Order: sequence, then C-alpha cells, then structure tokens
Amino acid sequence: MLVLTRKSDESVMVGSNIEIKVLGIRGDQVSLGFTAPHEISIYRKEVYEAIQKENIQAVKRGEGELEKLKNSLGQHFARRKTDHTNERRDEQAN
Amino acid sequence: MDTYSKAQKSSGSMTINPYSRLVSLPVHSENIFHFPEGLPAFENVKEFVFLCKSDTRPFFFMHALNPPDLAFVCVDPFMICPDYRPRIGEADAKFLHLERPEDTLIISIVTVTKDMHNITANLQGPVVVNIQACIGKQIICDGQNYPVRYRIWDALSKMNVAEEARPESSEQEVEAAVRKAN
Repeated sequence: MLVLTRKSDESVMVGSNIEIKVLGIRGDQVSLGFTAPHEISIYRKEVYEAIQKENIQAVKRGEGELEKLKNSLGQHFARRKTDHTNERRDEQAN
Repeated sequence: MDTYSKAQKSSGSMTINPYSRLVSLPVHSENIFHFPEGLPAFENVKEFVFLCKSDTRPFFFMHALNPPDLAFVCVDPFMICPDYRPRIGEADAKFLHLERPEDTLIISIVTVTKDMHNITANLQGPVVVNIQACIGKQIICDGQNYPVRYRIWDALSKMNVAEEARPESSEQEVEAAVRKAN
C-alpha cells in the first residue's frame, strides 16, 4: 500500500483523471472530496460490505423458505394482483 | 462458451431447476438477464431469470442459472415503500445502457427470516435491470439513507388486498410448466 501524508486542501491524483482531496479534518474524521469520471462508482466500503452480507443472508437455497413464505402469506397476499414488475414482464413477453 | 451463448445456440431455450431438484423449467434465452459484475458476494453469478408464482405474490424470484440452486426472493420496492426514490448514478446508468425510464426496472432483494414478521427488503442496494437490453446490476445508493434491512411485513399487512382477476401473464405459464413437470 502506498502511503502519502496530506494536509487539508491537498489532493492526491489517481491516474490522470481521479482527484481525491482532503477537505477537512475534525477529530478522527476526515472529509474527502472525489472528482472522477462519471463511469467510476464511489461508495463507502462498509456500505458495500453491508450489501454483500445481506445478499448472503438473503440467498434462498432449495425450497424451504419458499414453502414457509407461501404458508405465511396464505390468504393475505396470494390473490393480490402484482405490480408493474409483472406487467413489464408481460410487455416483454409480448 | 458461457451458458448464455450455449442457450442461444440450442434453439433459444434451456432448462434450469428453479425450486427443487424435482422440477425443471424451460427458459428462453431472451428471458435471461445478464449481470456482468454478478452481485456483491456473488460476483461469479452472472445470469439470472425472474420467476413469478401466483401463490407467492407479491414476491417473486431472481433465480441463477448457475449454480442452479441459488435464488433470491424479491419484491417491488415501490409497493412496500411508496416514497422510495433510489438515485441511479450516471456510472450505473451507463453501465446498464439505460436511456429511457420505461426500460428501467427496480427490484429489492428480500431477506426471509424464520419469523415472517421480520422479513426485510434491501432498499440500499436495489437491483436495477434494463428490461430491453436484459442487463442488470445491484447498485449501491450510498448517500441516501435507505436501509439494508427495511421491514416490510407491516407495509404488506396494511395493504388493501383486493381480489382481482388473475392477469394473463407469463407467470401462469411458469405455473403450468411446474404442474406439468410434477
């Protein structure tokens, strides 16, 4: 890992078109500003990790959860006409 | 050669095991959605189909072609959170070749728990699909305060569940196919 020391208002360039600027430091918090091409996605690592973790939780293997889901939904939702998701699917199918 | 190309070459259809080892459904290649980056934590899973069954509404399934037992329970986020306005960044819009809003489909992955009252939907990481280009990505709405675990049971329960005629839809075909296979 490359380690650089920066002060407030100083920047780091990543390649020729990504700039990361230290906007301010308060206590143990650092504000960073990113200037990057639009095709570069920027997000906090813990947010990405939270979504990774949630996807693992959400994975359904086999039909156990499906059966549970069906039973619990029961008459509540079984007859509910679904949303635009299905309409879109229909459009696509046509 | 990947599964998609194979499917295209073999008369436009292929078979997966959607719910159990007992049932196989034919899947047409035009219904296969490509996720070039996979999903976070499932980066190698790049092809999905969406399956709807009338008895699990309003939930539906985002089913991987490979591995065949990998599936996510999904829901329409706007149904459970009418004010939901996820921001699709320019990078993601470009990635998905999104040009028209009507080509965009936004889906939330549901985490099913043992106690059904605790089921949640992921509003921070919606799956965005270009239904014309059949390409999808799970985007990350960082900077918007949407929860990864949005509790949905209450929202579902509050809804007025009107009895409506079942629409003619491809999901009925799926149903029929399941019965036939059984």
